Amino acid sequence: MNRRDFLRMSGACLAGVGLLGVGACGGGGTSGTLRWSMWSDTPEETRVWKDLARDVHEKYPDITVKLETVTFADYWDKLTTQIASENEADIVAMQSLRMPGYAARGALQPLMPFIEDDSDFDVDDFFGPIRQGLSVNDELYALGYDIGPIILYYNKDLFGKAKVEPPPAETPMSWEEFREKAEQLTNPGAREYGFVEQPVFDFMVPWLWSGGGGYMNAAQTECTLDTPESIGAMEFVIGMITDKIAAPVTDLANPSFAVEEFFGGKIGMHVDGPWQFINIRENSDFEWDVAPMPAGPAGSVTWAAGSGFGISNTTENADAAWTALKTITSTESLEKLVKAGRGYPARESAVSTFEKPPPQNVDVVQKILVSDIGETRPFVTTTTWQETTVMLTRDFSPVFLGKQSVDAVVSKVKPQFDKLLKEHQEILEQQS
Amino acid sequence: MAGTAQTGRGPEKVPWKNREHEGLAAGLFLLPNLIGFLIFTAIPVGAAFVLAFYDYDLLLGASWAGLENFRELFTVDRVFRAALFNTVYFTAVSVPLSVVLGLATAILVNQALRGVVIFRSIFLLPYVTVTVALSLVWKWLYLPDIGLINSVLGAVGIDGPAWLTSQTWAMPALILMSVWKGFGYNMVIFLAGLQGIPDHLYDAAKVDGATAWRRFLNVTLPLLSPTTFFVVVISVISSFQVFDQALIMTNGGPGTATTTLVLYIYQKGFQSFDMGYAAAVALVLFAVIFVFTVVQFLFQRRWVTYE
Amino acid sequence: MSAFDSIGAALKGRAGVSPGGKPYWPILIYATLMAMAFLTLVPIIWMVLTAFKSAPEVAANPPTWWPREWHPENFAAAWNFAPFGRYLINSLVMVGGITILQTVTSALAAYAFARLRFRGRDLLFLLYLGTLMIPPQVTVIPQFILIKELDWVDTYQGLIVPQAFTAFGVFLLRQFFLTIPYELEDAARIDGASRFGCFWRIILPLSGPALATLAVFAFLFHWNNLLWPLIVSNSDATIPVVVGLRNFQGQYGTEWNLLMAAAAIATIPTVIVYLFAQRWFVRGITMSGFGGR
Repeated sequence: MNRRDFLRMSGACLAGVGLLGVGACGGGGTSGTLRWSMWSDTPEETRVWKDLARDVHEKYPDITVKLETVTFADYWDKLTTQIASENEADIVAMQSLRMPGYAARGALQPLMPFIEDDSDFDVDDFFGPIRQGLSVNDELYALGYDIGPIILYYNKDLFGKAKVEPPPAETPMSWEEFREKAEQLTNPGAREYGFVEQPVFDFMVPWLWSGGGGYMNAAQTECTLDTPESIGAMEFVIGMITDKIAAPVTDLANPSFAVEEFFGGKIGMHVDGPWQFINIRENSDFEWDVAPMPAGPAGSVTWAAGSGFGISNTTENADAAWTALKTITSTESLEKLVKAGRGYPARESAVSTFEKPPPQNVDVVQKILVSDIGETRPFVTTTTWQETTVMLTRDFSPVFLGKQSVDAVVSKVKPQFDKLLKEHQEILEQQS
Repeated sequence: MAGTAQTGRGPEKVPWKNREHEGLAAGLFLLPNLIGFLIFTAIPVGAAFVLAFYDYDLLLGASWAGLENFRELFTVDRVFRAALFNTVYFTAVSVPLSVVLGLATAILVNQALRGVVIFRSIFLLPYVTVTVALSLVWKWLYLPDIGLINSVLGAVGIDGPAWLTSQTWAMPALILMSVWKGFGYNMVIFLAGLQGIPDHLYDAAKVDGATAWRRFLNVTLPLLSPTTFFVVVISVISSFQVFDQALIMTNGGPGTATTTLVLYIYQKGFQSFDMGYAAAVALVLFAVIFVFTVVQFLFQRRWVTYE
Repeated sequence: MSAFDSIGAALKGRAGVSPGGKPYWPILIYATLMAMAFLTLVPIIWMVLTAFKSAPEVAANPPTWWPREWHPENFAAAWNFAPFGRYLINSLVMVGGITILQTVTSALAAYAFARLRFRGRDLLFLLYLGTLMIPPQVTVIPQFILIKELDWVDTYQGLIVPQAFTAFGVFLLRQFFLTIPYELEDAARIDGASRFGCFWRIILPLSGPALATLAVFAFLFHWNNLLWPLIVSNSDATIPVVVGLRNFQGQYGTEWNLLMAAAAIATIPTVIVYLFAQRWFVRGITMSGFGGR
């Protein structure tokens, strides 16, 4: 076969395959068989989800839900491929952090029409931050199953050993107190540090907000990392690393680097979400507890994020999917999830089941979530957030390693961030 | 027979009946593989080529972009430039190391010694073990103060760097790990090649009084050259596509120190949803590898002997 | 020297080239091999040792070498973490299918490239080679769309067929076939053998090492290849071990000790395959007779 024939043939095949997004309608299941894609990292989790799927079938015998799970890390690659080839499941799990990106690209359909038609569905039972987190442009795309604010974890044993007063449970301590305690806990000879920060931008945001700064303005058109408050906040945290009060960053590729350091028992304090409860229980052999984020010039401000389930745009069984979705995120279902221990429930009505200690101060979590203590805002992201995160991770790494100043990095980052915000606005316009 | 090394195409020398027979025979031999190849390999590759000229946001759809992706790549994208440099750097160092190490090891395990089979398996273990698990262990080895490597270096008075978080040393660290992981693979191929060298050639050389080194130069190397060529080409192709280690050990960092081209493609395609741009980078990568390979093919006429 | 002689003699085995020369060669070679083996094995031994540790110990800072307490139950826990028995079967079917399909079709095609003369041969071979130079990250989506059109998502054929036709096998075998002297086939041709006869009776038997190499490499590569099965498999009925292993890397942290245990278990089949294929690497019959062993 010569070159000409080959090209002609491949051209024909390409067109036939409909590469550019027009797939043939795959045969949808018989009415009532739904595919549900979700991430799962442990057999216990998978069991819980399978349980919920079975509940749907018991309650509505002509709906069958087939669960498909992959690990969290792989879920997004797979979802992207499925959406690109119009092969995604009927019920799709989504994280609030990634919602704008996927929703704007038509992965899920708006849920308000279903909610309005359904008289006994109370969407307000879901915490505000998770509803906001799973919405884009005020359009709700998923029902939440878990939510979590970033809080402060501390190692009670280390505090006791150094005879330092642990952080109070109900009142956020000030930044000065926080730094002081961290200093007192630091013992370089024994490789003990008062604090460890995960070198990922997401975990810088509570500090930014508590410092009175932020990463973008409310209109989502401009990056605000260069304001004096933002820079001050970042310098506060990075300063702890360069002054060797916080553990040095030794791993840039591990999303759990900081929490794993904390497991090791030589770190005084760490900021993370309530989703770590179960991990810390399993992996540590010391006493620990939680407290609110330290309060900076603007108070103790933290973000809440979570995950939920939505209905795909290409489903052929939207009504069945809605029914199943309601059941999966009902109070009973969320209580089951909570008993399995992974997440803090997205519904207020399920909170009481949240397991008791450790940590002793578990009640504090709800108070933080509803802003009774400090302030909790939803973590708002953009439709270009994935690319933004990649850029921020790459360009901030020298800062976390203490190799560049915050100023230098921010001046490099701001133009890129602004450009991505511009693209984000363009995508939003396209959608409306 | 022995020693008549011919380069070039053999079939001309043999009188076949007529050409038609050849075409039909060729077709039959090729067909099973060719069909599958065209459908499942060539067409997707072609699609990737075509995508490079589109602005294809994976989920929003495609629009013709002409050379826009390439313009951006070559003029403003500093990460691309870093990735290109890193990838060439990685290949230029790791390929010679792992080819030479593979050959040396193959020669060693080709000796008639008791238990040599065990060694052959040991050297292949790094290649067959799951990358994820090995990457973690190597991360521990590379830890600045408490990792094994720096501890050993410290014992002889060298102050080891913070390997994976150092701008200068992150790439060498990746190279070392990759060579360790891959040399066994080359060893196996070389072994197959060495096995194909007939004994009598060595015997004849010995009779002529050649030393071990001379035998290596005059018998082993020339007869091994098709294999060596294969190993080098495959090593270059796969080194240029290094991905797993860069993702798992350093995630491309610090900064862009270990961002390789394929890691960048992955980031652009799967994380930024910009498949068209990713395809454009892939096209550039292809061009680079292609040039390297063609050069190697041209050079083969000089030093590769097919018997 | 006689001590060396006897040690050297004791070390001599059967397969391979005689070390010849000075009597201490075997010892020197052995020493070098042992040193290299040690260096090669250090990370792997650590991996296996980690599999025996408890979770808090794995997180210990600084990392420990020898487990403080041994937890062999980690292996059972890893095994039960997911239906690994089923995953193992899936892996074997998938990888076995790819290996056989690739080896058979590549051998035929490689023969055409190495021996037959036809229009466009070199160009076609260049095309084959060219496809090796495009990373899978960009071809995966077009390939998946193809699979979806064929309704092969989450099926064995979807896992096997698209992976079986890469150019690697054709390249490897073509290089090898080119090293076999033409005289052998000439002789057969003159006696009236057909093309296929030459292939079957002359080329193939001599290609033991190369075929074994290809088969082993195909096996090893696809056993650990993650990207394609990840996308194609949806259910336990088709998920192979390599995807199952990812179960240990959670959203919030990795169970390193279990991951190491599972990785160790997953390595065993590949080692077995390689050891088994070793027999084929033994010197094939050479054109001019045997080496006298």
